Amino acid sequence: MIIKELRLGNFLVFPGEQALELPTDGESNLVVILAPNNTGKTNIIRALKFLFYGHLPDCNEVTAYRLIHDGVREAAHVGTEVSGWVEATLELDDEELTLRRTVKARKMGKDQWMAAEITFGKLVREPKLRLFLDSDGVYQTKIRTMVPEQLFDAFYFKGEPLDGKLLGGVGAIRDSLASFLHEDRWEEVERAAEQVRQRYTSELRRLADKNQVYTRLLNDEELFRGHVVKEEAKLEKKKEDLEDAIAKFNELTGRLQDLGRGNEAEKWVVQLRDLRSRQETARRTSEKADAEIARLVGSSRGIPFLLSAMPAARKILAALQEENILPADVSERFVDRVLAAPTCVCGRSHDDQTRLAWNRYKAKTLSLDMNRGLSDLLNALQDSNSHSFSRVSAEVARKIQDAQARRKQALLDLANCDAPIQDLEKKLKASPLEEIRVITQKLRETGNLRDRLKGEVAQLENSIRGMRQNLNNIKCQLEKARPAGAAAVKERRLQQARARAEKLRLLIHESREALTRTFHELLQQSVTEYYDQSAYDGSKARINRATLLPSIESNGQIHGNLGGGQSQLLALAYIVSLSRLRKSLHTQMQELGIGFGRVDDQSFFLDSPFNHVTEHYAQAIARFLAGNARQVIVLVARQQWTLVRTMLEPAARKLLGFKYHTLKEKLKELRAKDPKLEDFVYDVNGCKVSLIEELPKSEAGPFTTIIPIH
Amino acid sequence: MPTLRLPQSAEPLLPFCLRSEDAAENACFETYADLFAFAAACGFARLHGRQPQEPEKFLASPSPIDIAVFKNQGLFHNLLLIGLGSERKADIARDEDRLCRLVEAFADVGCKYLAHELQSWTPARFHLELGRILIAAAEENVKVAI
Repeated sequence: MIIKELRLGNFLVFPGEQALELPTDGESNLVVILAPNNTGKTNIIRALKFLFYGHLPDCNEVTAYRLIHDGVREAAHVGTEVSGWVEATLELDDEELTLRRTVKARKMGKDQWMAAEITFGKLVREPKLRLFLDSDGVYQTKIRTMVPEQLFDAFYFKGEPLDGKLLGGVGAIRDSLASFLHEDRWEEVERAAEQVRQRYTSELRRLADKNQVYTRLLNDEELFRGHVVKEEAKLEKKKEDLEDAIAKFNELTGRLQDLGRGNEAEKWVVQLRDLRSRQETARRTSEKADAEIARLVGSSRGIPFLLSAMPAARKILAALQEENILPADVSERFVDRVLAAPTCVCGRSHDDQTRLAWNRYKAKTLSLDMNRGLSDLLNALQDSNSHSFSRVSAEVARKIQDAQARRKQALLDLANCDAPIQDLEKKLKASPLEEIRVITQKLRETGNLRDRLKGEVAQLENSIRGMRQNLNNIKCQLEKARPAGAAAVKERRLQQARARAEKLRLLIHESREALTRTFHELLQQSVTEYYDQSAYDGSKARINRATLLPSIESNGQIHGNLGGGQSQLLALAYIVSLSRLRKSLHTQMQELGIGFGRVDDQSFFLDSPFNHVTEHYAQAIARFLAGNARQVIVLVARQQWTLVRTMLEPAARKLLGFKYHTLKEKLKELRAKDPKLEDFVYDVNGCKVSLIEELPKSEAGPFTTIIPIH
Repeated sequence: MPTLRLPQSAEPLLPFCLRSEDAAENACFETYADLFAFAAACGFARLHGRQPQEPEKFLASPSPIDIAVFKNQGLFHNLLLIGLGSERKADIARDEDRLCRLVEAFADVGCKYLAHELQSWTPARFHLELGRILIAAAEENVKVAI
C-alpha cells in the first residue's frame, strides 16, 4: 500500500491541517523526516494506526478525545464539539483512494468529555469535499487485507529494535504469515477432499453390505491407506530435515574449506613452537649460568679479597727465606736433635757460641704444619705459578663475568620471546583454529544426523513401499471381490469418484507444500541478498523452513539476537522481502483466478531505525533503505542524523522536518542544558537547519509543524 | 689442635652452604670451612687489613671447625695470608691460636657485611651479588697493580 499523501487535522501534536506529500513515482521513493526527539515522531505512526484500524493500544472510546490536538481542546467552550482526523490518499493501481478517520468529542467541562465518536470513510474532494462513511466495511477490509494488523508494527515501527518482534518466533508475525499464505484455507480444502473420499468409501461399504469379503478388504484398504498417509507425512518431514542437514553439512564443509585456504595459523603454530623452544633453551642457559656463578663464588675461597695482603705477605715470607727458615729445610726438632748430640753437624764439639747460635735459630724455626702452610702460601704468591692467588683471582673474575654475560643474554632472550609468544597466542586464539575446531565438531554432528536421517528416510520409504504393495494386493483382491450385476456398475462409478477425490486431495496437499517451499526459498533468497553482504562478521540470514521466521547464523550457531545492528538489518530485510513476496503471491493467485484480495507495494514508516545500532550497521541500514523498497519514510532524530546523513541525504527524494514550537520557559530550560540547542539543529547540505522555535503569542501550548527542507 | 668458631653473625649465611639442612638453591659453599674462609677474606678486604674486634658470640651449631680441616682442604694458607697481611709480622705464623682468633674476628666482620647486604639483595640473587663483589675486588686489585 503506497501512500501519496498523509494529512492530519488537529490530530495529536499537529494543529490545524498539515500534510505530508509523499513522492510515489520513482522505483525507490525515500522520504527523510528530520524529527528531533519529543517532536512527534511516534505521533505519525500512531496516526497511521488510528487511520487503519480505528483504535490504539492506549486509547478507547472514553479516552479517544485525547487524540484531538491539545490546543483545540483547550480553546473549546463547554458544550461545543471538536474533532481531529487523519487522512491518507492511497495509490491503488491507477486510481487513488482517500480514506479519513475522524474522532469527534463534545466538551462537558474542564477536562471532561463525552465518549468520542469515531467515523471512517472514503473522502472525495472534487467537486466538493464529501465523506462517504464505510458503513459496509469495504474499505476497512481493504485496509486490513493490504496491511494485516499483525504486520502493522513491522511495516510502521516506532523506535524500539525490530528484532524483538521478529526474531525468537513471535506469534503475531507467524500468524500473519499463516494468514496470508492462507494455511487455514489449504487445510480446509484438503480436509474437504478427504471427506468426499470418505463419503464414497461409506457408500461403497453400504453397497457391498452383504459381501463380507469385499467389506473386509475395503476396511483393510482404508487401514493401510491411513498408515501410508501417516508414514508419508512422516517421510516428508524427515526429508525436509535431511535436506536441511545436507545443506548445513555442505555449508559447514564450505566454511571449513574457506578457513583452510590461506590459513596462517599453522605457520603461527610452528613459530610459537620455535619461540617456546628458544625460551626453554634460554631458561636452561640462565639456570646453568646461575649454578656456575654459585660454584665459582664458592671455589674462589674469597681470594680476590686477599690480593691486597699479598705484598706484605711476600715481604715477610722473603725475610723468612732469607733467614733460611722457609722452606723448612731445618726444623725446630732438628735443632733440638743437634743440640742434644755431643757434636755439631760439622763434626766439631759444641761450644757456647755455637749453642747460642743454634738456640737463636731455633727460636725462629716453624712447626712442620706452619712450614708447609707458609710454603704453600709462598707458592701461591708467586705470580708465575699457575695456581697463584693473582691468577686464581683473575681466572675466577673472568669466569664469573663470562657466566654473567651468558646469563644476561639468556634472560634477554627469554624476555624477547615473551611479547611475540603472547602475540602469537592471541592471534591463535582469535585465529580460525578455534573456529575450525568448533566447525569440525559441528560437521561431525551434522554428518551423523545426516546419516541417521538418510537411514530413517530409507527405512520409511521401504515401509511405505511395502504398504503400497499390500494396498495394491488388496486392490487386486477387491477387484475380484467386486459385487456382481447392477451393483458392479455403481461400484465402479464410486471407485472412480473416490480415486478422483484422492487425487484432488493429493494435488492440494502437494500444492500447499510447494507453495510453502517456494515461499521459503524466495524469502531466503531475498533476505540473503539483503543481509549477507552487509554483515561484516560473516554471519548469514536464515529463514526457518517450518516457521518462516528469520534468524542469524554465525559459525553454525543460530542466534536470537546478535545486537549491534545485525538483527535490525535482518528484520528490515525480512519485512521488505515479506512485503514483496506478499505482493507477488497475491498477483499470481489473482492470475490463477484465486482472488484473496489485492496487495500492492508496501510503504514503510520507520521511526528511528538507527537507534541502538553501531555505525557500520546504521550505514548498512541507510544504504538498504535507500534502494530496496518503493516507499520508505524514515524519521531521524538529531543524534542518528550525523551517522547516516551521508547515505540518506543524496538518496532522499524529499526532506521534511518537524518543527517544534514551544514555550519561552521551556526554551530557557532546554538552553540551560544545551545552550546552542544543538539537539534541534540539523546539518543539511552544508547548512544548519534549526527545528525549534518559540511559541507564537496566540498559542498556549507546544505543537509541531511539518516543514519542507528541500 | 686449635679450632675456628663460626661467629653468630654467620647465621643468616648458613643456608648458602651446601652442608646446611635447608640449603638454598643457589648455595655457593661446599663446606662451612669454605664459607668461613670466604667471610674472613671478605672481612679482611672490608677493613683493609686493620685489626678487627674479636666477636663476642659464636654459633654452637655448626660446631667449631678443627684447623686441620682447613689444612686438609687447602685453605690454611689463605688464613695465613690473612694473618700475615694483617699483622705484617711473621710471629702470627708461630702461634696458631692467635691466628685462629684473628681470622675468626675477620670472619665476623665479613659475615656481618654479607648478612647486612643480604637484606637488601633477594636471597635468590645472593650468588650473583657475591660474584659481583668478587669481580669488583679482583678489578680493584688490578687497578692497584697498575
